[in-house]
Amino acid sequence: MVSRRTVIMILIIIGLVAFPLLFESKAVSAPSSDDQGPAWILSTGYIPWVHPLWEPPNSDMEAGLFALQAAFGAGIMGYIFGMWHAQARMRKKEENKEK
Amino acid sequence: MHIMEGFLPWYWCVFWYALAIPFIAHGVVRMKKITAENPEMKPLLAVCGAFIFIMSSLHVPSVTGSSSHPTGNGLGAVFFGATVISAICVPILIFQALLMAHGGITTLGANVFSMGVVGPFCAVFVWKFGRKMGLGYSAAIFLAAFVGDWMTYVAAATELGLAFPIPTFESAWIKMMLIYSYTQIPISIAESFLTVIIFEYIQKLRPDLLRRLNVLKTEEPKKPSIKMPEAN
Repeated sequence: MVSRRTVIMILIIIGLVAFPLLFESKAVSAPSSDDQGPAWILSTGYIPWVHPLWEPPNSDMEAGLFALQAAFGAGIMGYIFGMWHAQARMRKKEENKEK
Repeated sequence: MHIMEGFLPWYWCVFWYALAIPFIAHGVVRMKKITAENPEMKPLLAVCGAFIFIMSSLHVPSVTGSSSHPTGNGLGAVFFGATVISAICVPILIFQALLMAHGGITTLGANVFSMGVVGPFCAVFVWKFGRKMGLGYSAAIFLAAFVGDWMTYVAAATELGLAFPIPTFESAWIKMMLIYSYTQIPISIAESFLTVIIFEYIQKLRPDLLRRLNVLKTEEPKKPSIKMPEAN
């Protein structure tokens, strides 16, 4: 069972992420801080001396690659948590059998 | 906090590489030692790496009117030590630099230094200080995750302020702090709550691993209480 405290924490996380989406369209359309930094540097007249070897051709592909990265990480975490959960259950079963 | 490819002059790239490499090397050695002595730590190490992998891929809108991504570096730093995170950050940042043009190979040293050195070391310091002050595990990990994330962005702002002191370092640093660190505050809070949830889940499933890493206190056997005869 998920505790009440965990549910409250999940709601706070959802609130912090969803609040700007609901009330500030600026947060969605504005450039991210990772884009604002380079924009300021370019405005000082600096010319980058190297360029990325490859860039995603469009924002959809970029978003897809980020989603793939997140899915890969989530897959690893889910697998390990599942394994630990199954091991804990097995241990409990064995303990009950011994009793 | 990913400084883009070519967005640091070459001498700053060399400087940040030189600073980051010893931490990465120490992290690799420590990681090898931990997994050799305790092979059952491998899944926990993978969880910490995967957590950073997920967190750094999420672009989260901020109430400040921009968006940024969490880092996830506090959890692993508290479990395994800061330099292990320095080593874990390298493949993650290379993956993002090569496949998404997010960050860069020339700026890898600077990015590892902010996300894998400054953030994790600050997180470990806050965790230890918090525990010493008597904070509970959840409160201490919350603060450690918050500081680890936020200080990563403070470090990135400092790296750019140093490289582009236009007109002065102070003004450039304030400008960068407003871009990076201000946006990051609500995102760091959200990440800290998520870190607490993950921490408590691991604590529930594998407290034995956390005890072995000295994250949780080892349960001391109860001493039999001996009644002292009262002195008359």
